[in-house]
Amino acid sequence: MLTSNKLNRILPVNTPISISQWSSSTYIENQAATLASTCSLDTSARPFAWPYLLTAGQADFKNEQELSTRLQLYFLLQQIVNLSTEEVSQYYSSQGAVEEWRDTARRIRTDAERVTTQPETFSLESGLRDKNIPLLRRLLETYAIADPAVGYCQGMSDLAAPVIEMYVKSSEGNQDCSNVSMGQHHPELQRGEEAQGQGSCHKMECNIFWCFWGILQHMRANFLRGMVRVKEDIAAVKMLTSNVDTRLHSHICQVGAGGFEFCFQMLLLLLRRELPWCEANMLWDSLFARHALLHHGLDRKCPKCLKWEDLMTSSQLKSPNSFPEVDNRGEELSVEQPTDKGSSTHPDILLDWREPKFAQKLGPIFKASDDMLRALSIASTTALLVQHRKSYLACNNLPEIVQLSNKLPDLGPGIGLKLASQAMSLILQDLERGTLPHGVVSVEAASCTCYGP
Amino acid sequence: MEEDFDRELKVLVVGNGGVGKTSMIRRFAKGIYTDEYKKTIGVDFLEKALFVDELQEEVRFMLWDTAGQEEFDAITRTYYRGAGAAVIAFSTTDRASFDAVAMWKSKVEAECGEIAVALVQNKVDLVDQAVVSATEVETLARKLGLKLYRTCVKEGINVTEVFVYLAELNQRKQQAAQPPVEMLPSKPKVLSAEPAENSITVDSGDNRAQTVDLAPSKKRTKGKKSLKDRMSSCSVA
Repeated sequence: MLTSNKLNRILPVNTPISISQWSSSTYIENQAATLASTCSLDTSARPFAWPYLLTAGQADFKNEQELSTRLQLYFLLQQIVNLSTEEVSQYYSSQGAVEEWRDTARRIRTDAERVTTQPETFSLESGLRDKNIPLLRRLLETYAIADPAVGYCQGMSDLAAPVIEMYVKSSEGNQDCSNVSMGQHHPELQRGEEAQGQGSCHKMECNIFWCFWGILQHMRANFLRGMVRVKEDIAAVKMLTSNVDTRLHSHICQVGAGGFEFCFQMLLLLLRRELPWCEANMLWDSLFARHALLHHGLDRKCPKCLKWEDLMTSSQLKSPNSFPEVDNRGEELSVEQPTDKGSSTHPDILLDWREPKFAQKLGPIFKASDDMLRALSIASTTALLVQHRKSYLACNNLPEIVQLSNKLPDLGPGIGLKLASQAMSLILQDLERGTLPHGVVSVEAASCTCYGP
Repeated sequence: MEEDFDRELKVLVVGNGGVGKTSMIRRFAKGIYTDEYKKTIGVDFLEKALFVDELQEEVRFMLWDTAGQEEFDAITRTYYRGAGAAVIAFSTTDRASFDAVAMWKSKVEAECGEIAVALVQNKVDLVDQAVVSATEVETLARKLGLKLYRTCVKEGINVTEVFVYLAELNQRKQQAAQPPVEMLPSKPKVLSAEPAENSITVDSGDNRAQTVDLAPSKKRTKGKKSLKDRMSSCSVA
């Protein structure tokens, strides 16, 4: 099991991990997660590192077959998105969507227009905003189709913006980067893409989608109706705060903010808005890496770990020849699905997109078997409150707490990595006590001494 | 409490996402307008002190900006407590936001009871893209017993009036709930929260509310009147 001592032995590295370092196979297998947790990633390495870390190494980006499958699945989703509104609606509701497609699509449209202007790809000055907003819109629509139980909820566009930013920037810097990630272009897909006139843009969109999917597999429960998970997380932050900083906790309660609902945005968006853009990226680097570390630390306890092989055997689209064709009426969108593990002769099962369970079969592709990113989110939110304790202690009432939380002062460079490191300490201390139930921080048992009152 | 020289009014601003709630609050509290590129997640808060002529006192408006996303209600509802007034906003260009008005009213009432509420149709400058007709908006306002304000937050038209009205209505509701020993100077009857069947209480844009008959006074301005002028006639239409 990982311990904080072991972690402390790893010296922080100041130079961001480069794309060439990241791409070397020994690096990926042996050190990536560990090192990435102690330093940030170079911008160019993120498009490769994030999906890898988010799946705790389960996504193998060197596996041609896997890459091809992912491209095919994305292409299939695109075919659905490209159907007529009526047909998309029909599909969407048949998959257990909680609202009408037109409502989802409208909200996506509204929110995409209002996406942050912070990164270059969405800044008003760069002139790139108009070009990238349709990309964001398409990504969110595709996600909603792939995960109709969540569909679209506000905040998801905030999580999507950094993903688009990094892939767009990376493709500008390296025209071939999408090829590296996606492997050989599928002949069937090539035909389809040409027909759609999307070309290599399609590959980048596919990469963006799967990376976003990877993030959402950890965050999606936050966006479900009733907000049950966020409420639990808010309660967890409250308890953790009371353990690590009694005075801060009691002050917040005294001024009428004891429900800790002011942490809602922090938890929902993984501190995306509470930090400057580049610091938030570094925090994510580190949190994703620590998630991967923790995942492997817990792996022995989690025999039911979903691997990429599961995808290859359970949801794989059989072959280019069986790749679905959509006729003009969109009624033939079905794929044949092999079920026989490792066998070349698959008993063909027709997987119809109208079948209620189709989306669920897509679901587990990136799904990690535990929820360590959730634990890290709770812990880093708590660490953020403690970092700002002076400001919070100066608040006299709930409105002041809310205003502060929506406009936290900049704590300077390095805060992203610092928060991630403190979050890890909180979790590791809990782990060492053996009080961590499967995937959730047991905050009651944590008696962390890393912060003084 | 009545002796409080500092009258405080907690106002909730609710309505679907993207109708201009944050911009409205910012316009009222700070007098500025910026194209909003930040969706409200959860809630935000701003404060504004304003001397309300009709009440002859300064009111401190505690403005609670809530997220439009319905799912967030589970969190944002916790901030509803203690509100004395609410703005229900919808956009001229967003049909769903208009259709959701009744739902927002029920939500506010469920948490806060019968508090002072105003209905606000924002973005009336985008009349070319309107997806709701003046008549159906007025019909809904009548049905829900809400005073309707047509605002253009961008140009700062009719915004302050909404909050002034809410302060007055809140005062009257409080007086009605607890018959006071001393009454404030009488208010114009037209401020009734429940407009008469064939008329609608609208704001003429000059800080005074008035009741107008709907049918005969309909005017169309095809000329190049200022937006403010168009607003006035729009309110009446």
